[in-house]
Amino acid sequence: MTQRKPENKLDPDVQAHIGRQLRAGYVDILNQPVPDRFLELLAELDTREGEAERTSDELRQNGSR
Amino acid sequence: MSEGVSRAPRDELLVHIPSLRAFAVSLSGQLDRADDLVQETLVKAWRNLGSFTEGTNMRAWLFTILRNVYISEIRRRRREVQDTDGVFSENVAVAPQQNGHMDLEDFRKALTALPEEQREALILIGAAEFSYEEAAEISGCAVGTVKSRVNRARTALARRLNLEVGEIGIEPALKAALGPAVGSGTG
Repeated sequence: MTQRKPENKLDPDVQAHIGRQLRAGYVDILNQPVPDRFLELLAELDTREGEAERTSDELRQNGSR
Repeated sequence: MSEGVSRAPRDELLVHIPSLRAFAVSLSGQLDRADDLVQETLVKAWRNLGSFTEGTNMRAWLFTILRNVYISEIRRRRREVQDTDGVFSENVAVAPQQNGHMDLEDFRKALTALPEEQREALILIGAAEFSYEEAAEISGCAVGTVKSRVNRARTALARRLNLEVGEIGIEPALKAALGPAVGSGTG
């Protein structure tokens, strides 16, 4: 579509700006506390695992972890 | 915190949830959709913990899972969308304001408008700070491919945000505006 230069050289300031914006949005989420839904999910998986282990021990001899 | 024994898988996964959310939001551009991606990733990771090699990079492993969950969701959506003759709203080209004020929202829109594989590469390198080798492994492609995707992504973003450099370089006013750009948004 548009004419393409063989070498796309970005101004270092522009590149740094893009990097900062990118990181800012990312870090914003990174710093948020873990929502309860995930704590609950992991707790639920943990519980189910315990039950499943007991069941599978009876059903099959599978030593893999 | 207990020491000695290796950490329970639950704790291990817990540590990486903030990273996974940040990655998912950056990829999808939507918080609620991102959290669904994270949820599916955690369930899959839990089921496949046995295939995770201890001592290797769990964050990279989890990112790979999330990335694959995301890609299959994209494909599913694409099929559904084609059925209804629609278009991806998130892929509609963004026409940024020409006012020189570039806040995070403009940036986010421009990022969302990038082709999936370019956005993914840029996020992995520029935000999640993986090495090119790790990013290549996560994306299932060659290192050189990651590099070229990142370059194309940066160029496309610069163009969408009207930061593209002409032969005479960028305007002094724009250049000055770029300096303190982060955190200068007016909320």
